[in-house]
Amino acid sequence: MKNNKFDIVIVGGGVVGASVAYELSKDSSLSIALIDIKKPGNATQASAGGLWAIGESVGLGCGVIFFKTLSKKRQENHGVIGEVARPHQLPPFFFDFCLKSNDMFPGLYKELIELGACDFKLEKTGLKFIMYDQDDLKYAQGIYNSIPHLKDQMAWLNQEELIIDEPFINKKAIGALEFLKDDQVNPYLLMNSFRDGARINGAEIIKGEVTDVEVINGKVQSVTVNDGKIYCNTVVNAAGAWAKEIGNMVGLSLPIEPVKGQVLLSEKLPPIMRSCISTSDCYIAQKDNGEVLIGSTTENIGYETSGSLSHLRSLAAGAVKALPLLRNIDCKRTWAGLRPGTPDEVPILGPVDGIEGYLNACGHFRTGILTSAITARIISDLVNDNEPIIDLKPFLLDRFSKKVVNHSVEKMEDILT
Amino acid sequence: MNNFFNKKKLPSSSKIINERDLDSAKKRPNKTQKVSLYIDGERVEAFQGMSVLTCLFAHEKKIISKGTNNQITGAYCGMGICFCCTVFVDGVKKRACKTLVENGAEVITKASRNDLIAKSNINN
Amino acid sequence: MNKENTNVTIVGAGPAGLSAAITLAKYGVHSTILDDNSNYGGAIYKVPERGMERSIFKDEKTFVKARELFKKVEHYSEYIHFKFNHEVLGNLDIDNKIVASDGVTLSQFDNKRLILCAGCYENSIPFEGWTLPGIMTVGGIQLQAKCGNVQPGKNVALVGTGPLLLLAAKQLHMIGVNVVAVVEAGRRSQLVNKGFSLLKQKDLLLEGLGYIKYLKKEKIPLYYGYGVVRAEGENELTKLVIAPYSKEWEPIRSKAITLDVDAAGIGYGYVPRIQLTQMLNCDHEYDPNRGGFIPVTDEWQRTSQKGIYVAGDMGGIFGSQMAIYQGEIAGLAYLEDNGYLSVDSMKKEVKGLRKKMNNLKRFQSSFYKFSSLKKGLTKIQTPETIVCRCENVKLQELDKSIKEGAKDMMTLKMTTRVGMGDCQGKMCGNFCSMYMSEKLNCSREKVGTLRPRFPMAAVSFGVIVKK
Ligand SMILES: Cc1cc2nc3c(=O)[nH]c(=O)nc-3n(C[C@H](O)[C@H](O)[C@H](O)COP(=O)(O)OP(=O)(O)OC[C@H]3O[C@@H](n4cnc5c(N)ncnc54)[C@H](O)[C@@H]3O)c2cc1C
Ligand SMILES: Cc1cc2nc3c(=O)[nH]c(=O)nc-3n(C[C@H](O)[C@H](O)[C@H](O)COP(=O)(O)OP(=O)(O)OC[C@H]3O[C@@H](n4cnc5c(N)ncnc54)[C@H](O)[C@@H]3O)c2cc1C
Ligand code: FES
Repeated sequence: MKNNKFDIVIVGGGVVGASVAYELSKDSSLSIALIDIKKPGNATQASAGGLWAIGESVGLGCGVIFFKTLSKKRQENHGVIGEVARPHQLPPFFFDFCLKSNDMFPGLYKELIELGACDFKLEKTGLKFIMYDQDDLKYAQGIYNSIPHLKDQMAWLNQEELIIDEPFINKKAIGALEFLKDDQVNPYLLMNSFRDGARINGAEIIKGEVTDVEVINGKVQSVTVNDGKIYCNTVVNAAGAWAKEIGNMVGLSLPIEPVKGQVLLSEKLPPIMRSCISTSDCYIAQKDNGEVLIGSTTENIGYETSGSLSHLRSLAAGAVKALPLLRNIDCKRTWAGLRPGTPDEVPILGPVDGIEGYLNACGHFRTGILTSAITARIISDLVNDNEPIIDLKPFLLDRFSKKVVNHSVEKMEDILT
Repeated sequence: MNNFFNKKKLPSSSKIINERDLDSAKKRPNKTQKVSLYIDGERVEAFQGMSVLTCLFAHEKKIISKGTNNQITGAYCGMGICFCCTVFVDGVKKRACKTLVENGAEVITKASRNDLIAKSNINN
Repeated sequence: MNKENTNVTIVGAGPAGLSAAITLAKYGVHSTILDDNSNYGGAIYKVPERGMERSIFKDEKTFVKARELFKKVEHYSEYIHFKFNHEVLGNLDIDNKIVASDGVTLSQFDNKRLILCAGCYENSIPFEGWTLPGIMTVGGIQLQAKCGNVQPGKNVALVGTGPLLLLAAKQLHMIGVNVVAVVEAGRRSQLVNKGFSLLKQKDLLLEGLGYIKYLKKEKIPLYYGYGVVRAEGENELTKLVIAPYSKEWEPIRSKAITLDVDAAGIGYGYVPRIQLTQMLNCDHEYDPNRGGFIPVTDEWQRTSQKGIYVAGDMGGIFGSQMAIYQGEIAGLAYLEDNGYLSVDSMKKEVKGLRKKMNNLKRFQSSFYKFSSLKKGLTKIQTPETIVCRCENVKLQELDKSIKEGAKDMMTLKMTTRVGMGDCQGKMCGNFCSMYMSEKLNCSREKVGTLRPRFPMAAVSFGVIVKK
């Protein structure tokens, strides 16, 4: 290490940490270190890379299986059988958070390319929710009607229109609801691009594991990395599913648990889909290099990243149902990543009372790729003592102690176990 | 549209490649059973138990596949590890070195998934 | 105990796997052997495609030995259950299962009683033009002659290091191929000094000398201290350029020779096939003399994971005879661990074995100096040389990534896509880590390995879905 004193130390170099590092590095008067050790299961490398602002907010995309489990549980608990569950939606402030972040990507893309960082492959795709039957239709209508203010970002496709748009889709599909601005990136290239940007702007990237954060008289002093101390004024906790451990080091208990998601990836194919696709079984996204990615499960079983055949089979079956030609296509790899899950599915951002120089940037659960952009802006606002671009209240850690959690009745553990 | 991947009908006007002596080394009586298959539309003979790769080599075909990046490749490891010998056998992607010849099988070489899917789109 | 309960799963039907199965069978223990080939034999005892008796090599020593082993297998056929054409795709730890594909559907096997004998594959060193059709690994080209009985080319050169070059040359010549040259990177002086001092393993030595004699008789040029520089050709190989290698195996390009060939076998050592032990979370260590990263075992072939044993080249390159010995030891260890055999009788069983193994080890280690890979091999490439065949990654892309801070294989993979193709880095992984450790001047352990993913070989979604 060339230097052992920085203004800001960011712990965790996934997409969130890298984005924060990049945003802060624009101020050349700040010295910044990004510290990361790639732990198996880190979410960014595992992610699908969807910028599904509406899709994720209404429980599609990564949330599909989560939603399925949830609605099944609800039906069982309330004894309502056969009723189509209502969409599992997040509160309006979360929509706003996601949409604002989504809007930042075209600008970021231009900025980073011009700076000489790698291309993170921003693609205009849209996200289609594919409907097979009347239940799916009712579900889609539920979504549509609940967000009237976003009508101009949605479009209905009937069967014929769907087939023209997506010639490889299952002929039995009855139509689709498309979210027109839900696009995609390549997630690890996005992370690399942020890192490149930060590096070019002078931030230091350090490989190592943070094992301690020193706090004296309520003020952060240093972090311990690779058995050495690095002094800093501010530490940003962007440790993803491991954020709880960093929290523990400063005496906080963060309600962040790893939520495993399994993914399958195909061999490279020529373009076979125009949009990303979500069904009620899985989501499917063809990435920039032609590989088709199929996700994902939602499993609350700790820091465990092995695959399980039953899950892989059901995801593959969902994908083969949506795109029958996949049956003869090779699956090249599978993997699992650990999302940083919070009880209300909303990230934990910003300062904590009583610990000066500590900022949360964690708990991004299913949308960390999408919301990495706005998270970085918020952290930068906080560091520079500006008014954050959104109201931070529902994102602060103290919401949990104040019991402001009301939109999600059941606790995540109850739902998933 | 998707039935391109189903077994295609055998081409009607298949040219028969001049048969090469498969017992190239020493003359020995052939007791094993012969099968015939199609390589890029041409009918060839082979022996049961033979790998598709051996059969391709027997007919002096070295340029075998088109990789995922459209690079032309030939067999490399010969033991199923490198995936440089992938061909389409009856529409299914296989490693030539790990696939045994079968009577009536249709082998397509130097094709990538791209070509095949593009073709299947045009056909419809 | 009923049959189901005593069923051990063995991966690999090469000498190691077969020998383990025989040992278990002697004590009445059933085993299931999974192998991706359609017959037993593994890399060296692979049965010719048209049957062993029909092969012109049937009287060669390897096949004589193979038949001995196969006879035993047949004797115990009641206890040894083969599942051929079953390719193991990896370990799904949470299911406690390893998963295999037969091309139609997936089947699962308990991952707590495993004897792993997956062997090795050849180490690839990239050079300009190595992706041209016509260039194969030595083993790959040899298999065409030995098992396929076809000529992989008319004019063939064999380049690399180790005794397989000589054997392959002989076999290719026997089926009528014009062997243009055999090019060995090691120096003759070393071979002679080392070789003759090891009379304890006369057999092996004589075998090697036999090949050399054959080449001499047939006037096949044998170059010592030479190696590959580049290959040329429009669409397929037409020329191979070789040059003398320095002590560190750096080519002396001014003295290069061009060979007119339409096929070539290139082989610079072997890499143990450790993807399965990696996926099973066994501990690994680095041993350059045994092929690189290998699973850590005790002297009874037990890995760090309870119930999992390795034998043969997968646990470090020692050749087929050692594979047979180790297979037996792994079998005995399983028997002892599961109460079929007392420690004492196990020890008694292996007394003679140990002695033979030690002799063999001594013989092998004498070749390390001769054949072990030298740094120069990371200097024969140009910036434009393709390193990863699957993803078309060039050497300059590795350089760029390393310059920008990549310090381990995982980062290299994520930034350059090496190892993201169909072979999952089996072809380029070893070279990349060798190159990286060279560039960063740090140990191979520090650079690490690629993490294998399920499925280790591509499999169609249809197969995954089918129950
Ligand atoms: C299968 C799957 C699909 C997904 N799909 C999408 C999607 O389509 N769109 C979307 O927006 N989001 C998606 N997500 C969610 C998204 O991936 C995550 O929200 C996001 O990656 C979180 O980023 P992060 O930087 O907080 O965490 P991570 O990427 O996990 O990064 C945290 C980093 O911190 C490091 N670290 C932890 N502890 C320490 C320590 N003590 N010292 C040093 N380093 C440490 C870790 O090793 C890791 O590298 C998906 C997630 C999964 C699993
Ligand atoms: C190409 C090649 C040619 C060789 N030729 C010679 C030679 O001529 N003479 C010589 O002395 N030595 C030769 N060797 C060295 C020789 O391989 C070893 O000495 C000996 O065969 C080791 O025996 P083994 O049982 O450990 O492994 P192997 O004989 O390699 O057997 C391993 C078996 O496991 C199977 N297998 C591996 N992974 C999987 C999986 N995931 N699923 C299912 N099955 C799997 C393989 O297909 C193989 O059949 C050669 C090696 C190679 C790679
Ligand atoms: S030649 Fe390598 S897989 Fe067939």
